[in-house]
Amino acid sequence: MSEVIVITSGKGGVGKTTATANIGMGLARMKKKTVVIDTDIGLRNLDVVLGLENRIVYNMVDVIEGNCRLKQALIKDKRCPELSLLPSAQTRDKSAVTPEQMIKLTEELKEHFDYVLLDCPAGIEQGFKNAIAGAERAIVVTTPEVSAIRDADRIIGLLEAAEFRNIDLLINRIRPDMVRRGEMMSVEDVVEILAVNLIGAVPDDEEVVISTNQGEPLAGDDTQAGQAFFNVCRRILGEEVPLLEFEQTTGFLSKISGLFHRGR
Amino acid sequence: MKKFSFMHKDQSCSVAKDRLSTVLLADRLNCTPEMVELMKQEILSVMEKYLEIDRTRMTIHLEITTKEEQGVKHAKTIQIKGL
Repeated sequence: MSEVIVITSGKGGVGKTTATANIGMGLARMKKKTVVIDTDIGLRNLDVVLGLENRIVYNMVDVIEGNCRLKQALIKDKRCPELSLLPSAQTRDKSAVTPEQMIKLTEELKEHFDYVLLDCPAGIEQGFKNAIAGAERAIVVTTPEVSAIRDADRIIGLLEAAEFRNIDLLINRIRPDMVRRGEMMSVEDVVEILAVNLIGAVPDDEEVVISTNQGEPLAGDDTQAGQAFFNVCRRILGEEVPLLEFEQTTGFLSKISGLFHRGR
Repeated sequence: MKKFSFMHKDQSCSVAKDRLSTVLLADRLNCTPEMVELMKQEILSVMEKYLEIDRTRMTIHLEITTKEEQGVKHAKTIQIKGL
């Protein structure tokens, strides 16, 4: 039974592409046949994060327009053959495809893959509508910052209006030191505000920048972010995984201060 | 919101949470914070017509909660505290 998941956020730059690349790689490392699709037409990035930028021949728009067969456009990752990438077109724009075409594309992909992950562009216009068209499930990515949370809330509203029943939250770029000092919202804070099921919390990790520089996703690696992303994959597969040490942000001091904040 | 002296300043996290709850409420209800204030005042005026209340002691808390019980996916509620 294949699953089509869209990874979206509203706000740009919170880590959708990084999350798509790592969740895709993580699922593939767990031996699930996974395809990741870059739906950001005109601003493609998933290829570069995965380190597959030199292997692009055809792209998603080519497939939809019938210029090539699906198999010709799919790029199989040599490091992990269960993972494939369907790249975006760099020289077109978001009006090049329609939601109906996206549905047809994801239906065809479901026949060949266990997981179809769609990397959604920022915003709420055509790009967003295209990316969610064929998906049954959404992961909303946010950071613990005011503007990202506000946009995530809006996106959740739009997803619910589009009748998504399965919406999960991924909180990215957490800085446990700032949370302990009370200068950053905690995982619990964000979940309480957005009122959506949490699928994972990823710490702000230098290794992510390094991994993007090298084009080597870190899901499953021995790094903090790598472990966090891998846990997201395990939860997607239905496993109950407790939040990791660094993911928990209630320390001793914040437990005390929490007692006094409750009076609000 | 009381704080002990060792919390030397209003920590930005609690400021952020307060601001977010105001902003999200306005976004979700599709109305501005000013309109929310006016609405609260008018609700108090209506209640004053039928009840003996002390306006200075009352607060109206507008909260949007999501409940999944009994097949209801969304419930938008207005809580009136201080009666």
